[in-house]
Amino acid sequence: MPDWLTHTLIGWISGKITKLDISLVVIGALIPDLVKINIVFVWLRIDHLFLFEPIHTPIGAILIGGVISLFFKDCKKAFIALCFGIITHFILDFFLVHVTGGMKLFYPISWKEWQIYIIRSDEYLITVITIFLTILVFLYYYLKNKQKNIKKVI
Amino acid sequence: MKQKRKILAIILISSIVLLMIYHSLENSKKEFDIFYIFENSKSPDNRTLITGEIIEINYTTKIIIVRSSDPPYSLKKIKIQNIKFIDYIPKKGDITEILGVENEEKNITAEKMLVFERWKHDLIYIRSIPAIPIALYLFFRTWHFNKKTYRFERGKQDA
Repeated sequence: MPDWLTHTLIGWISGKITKLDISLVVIGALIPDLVKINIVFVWLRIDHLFLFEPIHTPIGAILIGGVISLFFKDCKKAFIALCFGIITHFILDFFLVHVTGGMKLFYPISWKEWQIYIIRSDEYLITVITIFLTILVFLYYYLKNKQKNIKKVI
Repeated sequence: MKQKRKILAIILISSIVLLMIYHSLENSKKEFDIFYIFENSKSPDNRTLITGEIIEINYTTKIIIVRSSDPPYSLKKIKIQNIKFIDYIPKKGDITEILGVENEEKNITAEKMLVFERWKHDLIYIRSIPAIPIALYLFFRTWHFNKKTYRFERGKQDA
């Protein structure tokens, strides 16, 4: 996984650009990593029986997104924003290097694992680039709003 | 409408639970049903994937001991004589992913090895920490929970 900061910032950028609900896109971008609940089991050396792995599959993450969206009045809109966040997560994770395997994109229909081995998960340069990109996008929209406000005053 | 939401929630949660149970039951049988986009090859049955922390490394005998991060979290002795370290020599405490071949005597010989320096690996988690308050801030800046309707309602305008 790229770190959660990268996922969060990419979610924020995507939400800002697509004009979807930013907060929900960000939450969606973190949903597949709920699978990290595994870490607690590993620390305690308890057998997790590979129960949580489906959370890090598109179908599992979308189902969780579906449950979360039910807590919103316009659940369709919320679901779309959450799903968009989920998609950004899988796109980022798709490029991670492993010795074998990858993501079960079509689980449970197929158990085949898909991955393009390009970026190491411990590569912090990606986080630095993402922070830089976020600042650029933030400044762009900040200046754009400022210009709009000036025009309104005039 | 409220009833419809409850039914939908039950269906969705049941589907997640079923997916999890199915995965848990079938995981060991399907372990190496892998498709590589570039390599397009299938691993033979005797291949094994070990992920975990390097507990001991002997450079002369070319054997390492890894504590697996998957259940049953056992120690595994792995021969690494076929591995050439290009830009980094692994140390005790580093995290590794090893694709190995297991022979009939249950000895594992590494075929491919990916090593993460310990500090770089821990940095992933440290970098992840700020994401939690950022995500919570963005969310609760926009939404607040109405206990009566059991729904999040929009407060201020978008973050």
